[in-house]
Amino acid sequence: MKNKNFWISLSLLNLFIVTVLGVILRSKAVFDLPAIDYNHLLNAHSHFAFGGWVTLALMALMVNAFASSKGGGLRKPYPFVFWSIFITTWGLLFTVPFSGYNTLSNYISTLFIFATYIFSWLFIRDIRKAKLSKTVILLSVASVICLVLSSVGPFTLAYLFATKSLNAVLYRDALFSYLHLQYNGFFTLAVFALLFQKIESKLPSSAQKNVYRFSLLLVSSILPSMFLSYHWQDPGILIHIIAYSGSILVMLSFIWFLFVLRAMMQLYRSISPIIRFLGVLSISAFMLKTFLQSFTIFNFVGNLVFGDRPVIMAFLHLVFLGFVTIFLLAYFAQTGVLNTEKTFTRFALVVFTLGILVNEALLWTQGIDAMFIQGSDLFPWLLWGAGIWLFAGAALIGIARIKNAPGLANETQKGKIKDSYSSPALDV
Amino acid sequence: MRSKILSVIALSTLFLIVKCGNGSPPDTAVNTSTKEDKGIGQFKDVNLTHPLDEGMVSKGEGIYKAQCFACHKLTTEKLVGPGWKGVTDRRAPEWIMNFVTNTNVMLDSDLVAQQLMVICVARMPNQNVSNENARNVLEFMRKNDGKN
Ligand code: HEC
Repeated sequence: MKNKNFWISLSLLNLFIVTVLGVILRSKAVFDLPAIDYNHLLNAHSHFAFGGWVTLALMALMVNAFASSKGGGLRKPYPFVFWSIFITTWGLLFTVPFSGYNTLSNYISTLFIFATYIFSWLFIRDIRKAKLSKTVILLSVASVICLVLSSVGPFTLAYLFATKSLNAVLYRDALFSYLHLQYNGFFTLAVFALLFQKIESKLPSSAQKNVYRFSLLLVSSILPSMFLSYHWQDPGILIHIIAYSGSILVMLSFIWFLFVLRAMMQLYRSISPIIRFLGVLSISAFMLKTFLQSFTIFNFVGNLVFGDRPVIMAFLHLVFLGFVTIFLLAYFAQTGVLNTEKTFTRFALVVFTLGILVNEALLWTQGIDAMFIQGSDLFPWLLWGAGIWLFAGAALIGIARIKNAPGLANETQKGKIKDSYSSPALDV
Repeated sequence: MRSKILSVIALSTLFLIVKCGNGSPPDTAVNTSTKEDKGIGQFKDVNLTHPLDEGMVSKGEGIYKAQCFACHKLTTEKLVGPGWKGVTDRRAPEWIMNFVTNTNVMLDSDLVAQQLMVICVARMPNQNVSNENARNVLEFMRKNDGKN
């Protein structure tokens, strides 16, 4: 694969598809669309968001940044893995909305999971040879390990549906464990691995120590904090203890992150305003997520949250869009995949990001209303509007990327993109 | 390298054949009628009022908009859960009230509830609805079904 950014372009296409599915889902709540099965489409939407957008983008960036060959291109087996990921996610896109989980879609999603296994194995093999700081190695290796562990979730769910034994505890545990290992494990750790690889060397050595300690706390919090989603429903003493220690570790990592944040502020001035804007939002979303997560330790919070669909949706989109997606966009902007010197690109980024904010505001309001047994006819319509807003934003970002694609860009721009991409330092 | 990958794919195929051998879920329609089934829970005998109690209907509608809206439409169309049109015809009032107040137990042991779960590929979370509010929602459902 000559162009390393090929996969990034495809992942942006997939982001756009995710927003299309989102609009259809939100339309279903306000219009009569009997031909569409909501839950099948919902599964397709989340599969595609996880696999087609974030997984593909994170993997491509991680390989580009940590494990690309000396010539700068992708090593041999990776394109095969990326194609497998791409084709299986598209396969699910064309099967799950229509038939839900049947033999064919189960088959494809198993292939997808195997592709992630192969990726993890290749990546861990290669990263040992790469010259990276111990922080980055810790985070990225832990990240792919979480990716592998998370696959227990779908396999358990498939088993439950196949045997028709939808046991309450197992069903929810499988689902939440999967989400936890993907969100707080794979996504979050990969994001910090990518971030610290870019900025660590620019920080004073005392700050680098804090970065490492934060990473260590973050990684060690993952498994115990998984028990936060078990403990409120079934109070076994051991589960309680693990969940409490998870909550404490999450809080500690939050505190250590504040030290890291202080050090990062020194770099703040050296980045362009649009990337500052994205960076601030993404980091705020991460902090809010971490804060909320450690609070589910309290039973009444857990009970309120786990039964309140809008709040769950708000939380999922906070992490997925607010933290991970905005980070990825900021990373693309910083590395020149999206050319923010162009007004159009900046406009696209701002539109999409504001859509994320509006979407969050609506979901939280709806969720908090539900807690107080308040509701309004307006919400489904407003959410529908927010869906269209996000769709428009993703379309604009896609257009910005096409305008900036190497094949179409002029030579000087091409050179610039390449340079900024391969240099590990922050370029202004 | 390639051969290793191929063998992994072959293995996964094998795994799937084994996994899918168990058969797929039954295609029971959502509106299987089970009027006799009273479900599991404290409600054995619910007194229905004629005509409808409009005060209860409007309280029920409030609950619906706050807590059920996100998953249930008022037509026959399925969203996350089944549409509510006709629910009072296909289920006994006791079943509905037990389901709404005792969701987890019902989903674990009531046959109809479990069939619904297979059709919806989702599990309704416990909504912490009080007995009184469950009754209000029932009244709202009856109104939605054109009862009097
Ligand atoms: C998170 C989505 C969700 C919410 C919120 C929700 N439900 Fe449900 N509901 C479902 C699902 C899914 C089913 C089908 C059974 C299953 O799969 O668990 C269902 C089934 C039902 C049924 C049986 C319908 C039938 O056709 O037999 C009733 C009655 C019901 N819900 C009432 C309520 C009430 C009352 C509320 C609000 C207090 C509510 N639900 C909130 C998802 C939800």
